[in-house]
Amino acid sequence: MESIGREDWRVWSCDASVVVTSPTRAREAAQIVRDTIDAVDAACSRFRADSELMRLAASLDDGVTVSPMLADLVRGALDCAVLTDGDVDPTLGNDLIAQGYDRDFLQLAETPLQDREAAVGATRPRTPGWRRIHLQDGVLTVPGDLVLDLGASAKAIAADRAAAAAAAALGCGVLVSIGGDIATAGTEPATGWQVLVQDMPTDPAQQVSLGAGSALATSSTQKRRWLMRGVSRHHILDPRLGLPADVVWRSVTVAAETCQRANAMSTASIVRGFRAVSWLRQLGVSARFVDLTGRVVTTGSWPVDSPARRSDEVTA
Amino acid sequence: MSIRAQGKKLASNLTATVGILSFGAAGFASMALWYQTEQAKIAASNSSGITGSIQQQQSNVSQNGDDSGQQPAPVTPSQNFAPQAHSSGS
Repeated sequence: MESIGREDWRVWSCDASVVVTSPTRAREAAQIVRDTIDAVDAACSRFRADSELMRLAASLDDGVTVSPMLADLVRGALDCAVLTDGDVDPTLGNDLIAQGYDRDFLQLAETPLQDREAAVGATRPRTPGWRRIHLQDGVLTVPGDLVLDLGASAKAIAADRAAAAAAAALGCGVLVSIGGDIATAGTEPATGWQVLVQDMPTDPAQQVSLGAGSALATSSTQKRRWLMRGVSRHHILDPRLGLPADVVWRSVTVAAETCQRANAMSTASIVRGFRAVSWLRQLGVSARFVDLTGRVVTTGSWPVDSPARRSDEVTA
Repeated sequence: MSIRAQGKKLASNLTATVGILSFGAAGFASMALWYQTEQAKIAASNSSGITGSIQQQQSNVSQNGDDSGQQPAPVTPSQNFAPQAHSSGS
């Protein structure tokens, strides 16, 4: 097998990796990816007071000119809402805070339960807010009762941007993975990009070959969980309720031409539950669903599962 | 002219008048409908903000839906080489 280069690190409380087909360029590629992630974080993080989104939060009700990066991230998030008919809604910030997800997940896991309970407000059914976001000529307007959370789509967009930027700068094939959201650009290795698809270590695993320019995203109800008032919560909210979506799937993995699109459809599939299978089949999208008992359902041209290997059996 | 002939002439004139009026009314209605359609087109092209963009993209989404099964297959069975990446939830 041809040699590759790779760099791994932690960011946004998850694993990040860059893999390149030119072994000597891994470090340069990693720097490009880090720069992209930093730029996205500086634009839209809701966990740091100095991000552009947080600095402008008080002015958004009246409309304010935002940077091209923040405009692109908001536009991308709204595209995801359109694609999923609002099942992925970037205006869930208040609801996530109400659920106790008010800081970086690493800090959330370390915070004593009683401290989080003090910050928890009442939850109630909500009206999806994404249609009320206005973005034109770089001016962003967000009604005062809404708080943007661009988390999921921003991570996927960062992967897409980073892979494209690294491939363009280095002239080789690049795979970028941020928390399991995978984007590729440039040429692929001779054997294709080899990706192990598996959420939790005990979940059924499958290895697939990802073609050049393709992307994968996995959404999980088993990770990023926390206890609130003794009840286990997960981070994917149903926009119609502002509450964690009913758990039908342990995880959903979607393949698409961009990580942004794959992430939107995998997240929406968690929200849609059983209906997601017919939705993705109708769209001809390749996806893999793992239900609560570990059974696997696939759509589109997703390859049939080969005998499962656990992650601890694989030599990386 | 006999009464019968006068009656026929009157009926003929009345028919012609009703026909002309009907034609005119239909023409007016068509013009009004055309004008309304044009105004709607202008309003749509002038609409600002994300709404127009969303409508455009919704149309694209449904187009994708119509292309069911036509998308390229981005994933294929692996040849069991060592994995280079791991897709999992985060």
